[in-house]
Amino acid sequence: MDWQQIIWAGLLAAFLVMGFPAAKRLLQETPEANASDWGSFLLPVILVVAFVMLLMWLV
Amino acid sequence: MATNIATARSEAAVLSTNKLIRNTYTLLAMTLIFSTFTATLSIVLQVPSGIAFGSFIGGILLVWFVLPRYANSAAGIGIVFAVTGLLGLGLGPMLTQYLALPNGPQIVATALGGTGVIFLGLSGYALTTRRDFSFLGGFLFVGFLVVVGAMLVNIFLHIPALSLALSAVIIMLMSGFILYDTGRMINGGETNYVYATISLYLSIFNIFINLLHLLGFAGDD
Repeated sequence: MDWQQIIWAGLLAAFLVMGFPAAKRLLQETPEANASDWGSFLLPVILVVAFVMLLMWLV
Repeated sequence: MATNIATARSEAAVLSTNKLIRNTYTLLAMTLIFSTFTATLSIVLQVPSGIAFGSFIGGILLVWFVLPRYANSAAGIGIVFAVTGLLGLGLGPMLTQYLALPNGPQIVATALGGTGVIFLGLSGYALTTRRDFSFLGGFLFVGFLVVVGAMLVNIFLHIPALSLALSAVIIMLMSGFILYDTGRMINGGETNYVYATISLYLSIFNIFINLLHLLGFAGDD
């Protein structure tokens, strides 16, 4: 394990520690979503996945 | 009278939103050009991986500790350029490695074009539908923390399949962040174009490097 990996691991661990309270707060503040809201999110994400798979097939 | 005041307020809100969107996309375009310039410089000058790694870490630390202090002042724009320049510089050795592959230039160009299509498509979708994606906030942030935890574990385990799976999940999460951030700009959740720019830039940056990872795997014979 080289020094870059040690620093990278430290940075990721710091992000986890610092991000945990923010995630907890965000989860409490986030408004409830209905099925139509999730549909409006899932549709473009599914298209992105299909597009990435197409690019992977093309290269 | 009350209707006139309400209409005037509504017009002011629309003008303010349009100004925020215009400023954000202008700054985003400029920082992407600057970032491309520093990444090219890093490739041409063959910047050593230690320096590139240092500049990458420097960019992240600027976002965490310096940007929040200056985001509401003109200095915030300078910090955004410093962050994007350092992150671009940090890409040099990785891009050099990909470009050295037999079909490397094609892979890098495809990742670049693919990232552009994904960003423009998602931004166009969010701007056209004008939907409020604020319900995604908690889900995306918790999802990102889980990914960071898995990345941390994989530093010690070195599982290539997990690394590829994480790249795919990061692309999906960053796509969600683009919808979320654009929705916040449209619906008044974000009023600072410095924060809006850096959020969108980081999503684009993450999509690019993870798409490059997946395409590098797919194109490696």
